This record gives sequence, structure tokens and C-alpha cells, in this order.
Amino acid sequence: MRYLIDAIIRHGPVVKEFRLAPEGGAPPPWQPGAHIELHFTSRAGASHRNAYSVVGEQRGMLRIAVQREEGGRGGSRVLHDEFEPGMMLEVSLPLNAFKLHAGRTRTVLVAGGIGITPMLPMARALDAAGASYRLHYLARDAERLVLADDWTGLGPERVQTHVTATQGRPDLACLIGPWEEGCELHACGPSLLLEAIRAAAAAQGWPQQHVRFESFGVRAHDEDSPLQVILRQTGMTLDVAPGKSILDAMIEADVFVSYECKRGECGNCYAGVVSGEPLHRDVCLNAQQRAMGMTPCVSWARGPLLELDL
Amino acid sequence: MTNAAKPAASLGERSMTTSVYHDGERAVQRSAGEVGIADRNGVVIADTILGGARPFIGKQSMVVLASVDADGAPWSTVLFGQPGFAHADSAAQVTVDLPAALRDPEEPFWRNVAANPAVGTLFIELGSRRRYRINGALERLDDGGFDLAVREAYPNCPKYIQRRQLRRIEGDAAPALLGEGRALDEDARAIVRRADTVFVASHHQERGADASHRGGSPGFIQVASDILLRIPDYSGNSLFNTFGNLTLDPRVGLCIPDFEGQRLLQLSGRARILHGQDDPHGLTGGTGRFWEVAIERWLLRRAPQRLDWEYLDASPFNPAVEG
Repeated sequence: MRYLIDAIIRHGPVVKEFRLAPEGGAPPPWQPGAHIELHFTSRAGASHRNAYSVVGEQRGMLRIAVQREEGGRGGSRVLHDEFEPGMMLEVSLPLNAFKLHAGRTRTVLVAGGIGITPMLPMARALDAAGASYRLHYLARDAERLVLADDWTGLGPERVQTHVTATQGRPDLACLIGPWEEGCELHACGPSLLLEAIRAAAAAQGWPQQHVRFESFGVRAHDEDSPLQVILRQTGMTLDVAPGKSILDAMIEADVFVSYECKRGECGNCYAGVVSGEPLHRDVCLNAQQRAMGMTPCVSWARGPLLELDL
Repeated sequence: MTNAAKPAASLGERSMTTSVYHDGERAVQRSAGEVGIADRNGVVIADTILGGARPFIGKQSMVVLASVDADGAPWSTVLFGQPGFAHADSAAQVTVDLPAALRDPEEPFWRNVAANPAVGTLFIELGSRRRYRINGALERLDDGGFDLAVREAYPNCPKYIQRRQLRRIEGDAAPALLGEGRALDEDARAIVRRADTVFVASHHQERGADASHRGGSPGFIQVASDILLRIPDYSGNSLFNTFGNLTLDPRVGLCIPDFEGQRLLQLSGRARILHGQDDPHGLTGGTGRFWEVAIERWLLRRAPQRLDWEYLDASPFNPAVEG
């Protein structure tokens, strides 16, 4: 579906909000936590497919917030530098992959950086339902606490901001609190933060099904080394260099493999690990699942060898 | 479905995707709030067999099949053979070599495909949790086996598959129809209660037959009565091929393998999909979806081969079961 860029609003040095008006009609229905995929081409001819959470709706327009990322494939830089109001974007239907589960007792929302975007409609929905919830918003510095108009209206007892450059990372255990029946936790942020939240929640007795994540950002680490991936069932060995996912290497080699989200969130590319030491970067597997396998879409291995039951 | 019942959103859907989904699939995707995800995931559906899946098919020793009887009711079954009995010699066709002498004449599949060419197949390797789905139409059926022309083909995820290794297969067991009936007898109920693996057949008038897999920890299929099963629907690929078919035509076939007893329990009935159910014990793994199958007919058959299965482990994705 084609959308017109109606307005672009700046929020601090690295975030631009895009207000997108669907061509001919109202925006399709979406749920808090939903994201849309933008398909666009740069002036240089590179095609991009980037996902952004829906921040909200305003006068029949969908709002998204795009952070300019220096790393990665450059889609966010193209959106920042080459797109202006009046231009068109091809946009998918909303994907409700990160659903809000309101806890009967309390709901904890944690946003890291631009991970605030899906949390805002969640917080609004909880607010409207009169639910007991708390939104924790972590950012490196004060000017990266963006979209203030969206969260200041929620009330000071609802939202707590944490500036990590000056205050350090907050005590996650304290912020999540102990598990009790009827609690739900939703978090969106870089995968390292989510991993720390997962550990803090598990240490306080949270069952994994009540801890829900959406991740973003690059998963590759600088210290990743090249891998030889042995596919036991297929009888094939692939050399995979850091920067490419193991899954993409398998797809390119025409290996029979199933996959869906390619973001470490659905677990549908799950592969049994025969030997090797995986470095898990998914946000969906529990300890038992990780003990037996991995998601080759985002995870890596210590190397040099990794053998999968594929 | 009347035009009035079609929501306006379907106008937008067409611009982002070719119509790989029919109205029934779209309806369930909407009920689950997963239309956008289905569009994304639908790109894996191809009209030919993926290169890497052809050698996979060639090493399988079982194929799960969906076929449709003369009254239009789908039936699910499993056929076994030595590795190589099924092969995809081209990307557009699958062949199954199974000489007439090795077939069970009581197996509904053979009768069904003689009358209706719609066939759904699922190649599932329980030992490695890999599965590949191919739907199409029967092109050849003779004393040597059959050919299937591919209409759509795609891989499915490894979730909820219990690992089992088929250690040995011998074609010398005497096939037998051990029982049949309307309401499940005690033996059949026990097979259902123990089941951790079930295959499902559904049918769509234009798109044909579809074979799929459902798995869980033993007890995940609740025997509500001797004619009613209640099954949680775990989160999957959001395509809802099976539920989409069942929304338009509730007739359903189930096949539950009794791995130890070398038996196959085949059920024919009608399905009802229940969205937004209370699920205090987390039986659905968070989807809140169940489906019920009202059983109209069951068959219990001994497989025509001697099968030696080794159970390895349960899927680490299985949600909890009651009790």
C-alpha cells in the first residue's frame, strides 16, 4: 500500500518522525506493538526493506520514528537524507508480531533508546484501560529521550526515565521486580539490554512466557570470527563470514531450511546444534531450547566450527 | 462469502501480495490479527520444489497424505517405504513408488485418489524435525505408484515435532483393519490420549487438499467425550492454511500414529475453531485458540510394514499440558 509522507518532525539529533498518510483511505487496523515494513529505493538504486513500530495515529496518518543508524545497510540514512514531505513510500500492512498482554496484577514496560516506539501505544492502551503499569525508558543521554509529548501525558508515576551516560544502567532487577501471578513484562531495545532483562527477570522467578521482547539493531559483534558451518543432514559445509547471517548463507546455498521473521523473534528457523558453541542472540528461545539448538537468523558461534542438524 | 461481508481492508492487502491466500485463510488471519505477518511469511510459498528439498524428499521413508473421498470429506494418512520410495525428479513433480502388493486395500487414500485427484503431502523427517509441504494434483496412479503435479510447495518450521528415528522398516507385516466405528472405543481413546503427533487433512474446493502436522506433549489432545476432541492451537507461521480451509469447509481428517503399536488411527469429522478462549493454564502457549473435532467415523489399521521407531526427545517448544 502506498503512503504519502505528510510531515517529518525532528526529535533530537538522530530521530525523525514520519507521518504517513495512506493513499486513498484510512490506515488499516493495527494493535499496540505492531510494526510496518517500508520498502524504498535510494537515489543510488539500493533497495531497502526496513521495519518500524507504529508510534501512533494522528488525523488518519500512521506515525513512525526513524533513528539514523551509522552502521547497518543504510536504510535509515536514506530515509533521513533522501526523503521529504510529499514523497511516497511503499508500506506493508501492520504486523502485529509484538502483542500487548495486560497483566492483571501489573505490567512492566522497558524501552531502550528508540525501543520506546512500540511501548508508547502499549502504555496508552494500558492507561486507557486503567491498568496498573510502569514504563521505564532508558537512553544514553537526555537528548535521546525522544517523543516526550507522547509520554509526559501519561503522568509521572507511570513513566520513569533513566539516562545511562550519567546515572549508569539502572538496577534492572529492582525495576522489573519479583514475579507474581498476573504480571507481564514487555521490553524493546538493543539485544544486549534484552539479554540483561531476561536474566534479571529469570533470577526473580519470571516464567519466560510472561517476558516478551522485540529487538532491533545489528546483532553481529566486532569480535565475531568466520565460521565453517557443517550441515549434517544436507551433507554440505558453508563458509560464513561475519556480517552475513548463517541463515542467509544457507538460503543462498539453496539449503532446505525454514524461516520466518529473520529477527530472532519467532524461532521458526530453529536448528539443532550437533557440535560447536553457539552465541545466542535471539530473543525468543528459553534456556532449554538454547541448550539443544539455535536460531541461525541472528545467532553466531564461537568458531571456527559449528555443526547443525540441518 | 458475500461481498458485504468482505472488509475494506482486503483492498489494501492485494497491493502488497499476490493472492496466495483464499477467503477462509484471510478470515482466520484477521481473527488472529496476523494478516501482515501472513503476507510476510507467504513469500516462502513457491509453485515448484526448492532445490535443497529434492534430496530431502529422496531420503524419506514416510509421507503424510491428505486425500478427499467421494463425498468431499478429507482423510489423513501416512504411507511408508524404503528411503528413495518418494522422489522429486523435477521441481514440478513428486513420484511415490509403492507397488500395489505392498498397499493396504483398506487404506482410504487409494480409493479417494481414484475419484478425486486433489492430494496434499507433507514430507516430515521426525528424526531431524524438518518438514516440507507439497500440494498438488494426482497425475498418474497405477500398480507401481503415483505422480503428483506440484501446485504449491514450502518448508514448515521445526516446532512441536517430537524427534523419532525410524530404525528399520520391513514390508512384511500383514495389513489389517483392526476396528472402525462412530464413537471412539476405549482403545482408540487411549491412542488419542497418548498422542504427541497428529496429522491433519483439510480441503478447499479450488485450492485442493492440504496435509499438516500438529504436535505437543502427550495429553495435548483432550478427549472431551467419545465423539469430541479439543486441541490447543499453538503459534505457528500465521498462514492458517488448515484453519483457513476448515473455516470454509469444516470437514477434517486426522491421522494419529501409534508408533509403538504400529497402528494408525484415522478420524473423520467436523472442526470448529475457537478464538479468544480463556486459557488460565497456558495450554495454548498464549494464542487463546482451540479447535474442536466432532468425530463422525474412525478407522484403526495396522500399518502394512513393520516399523521400528526409536523415540529420541520431545520438542523443546511444546507448551504445558493439563494435569
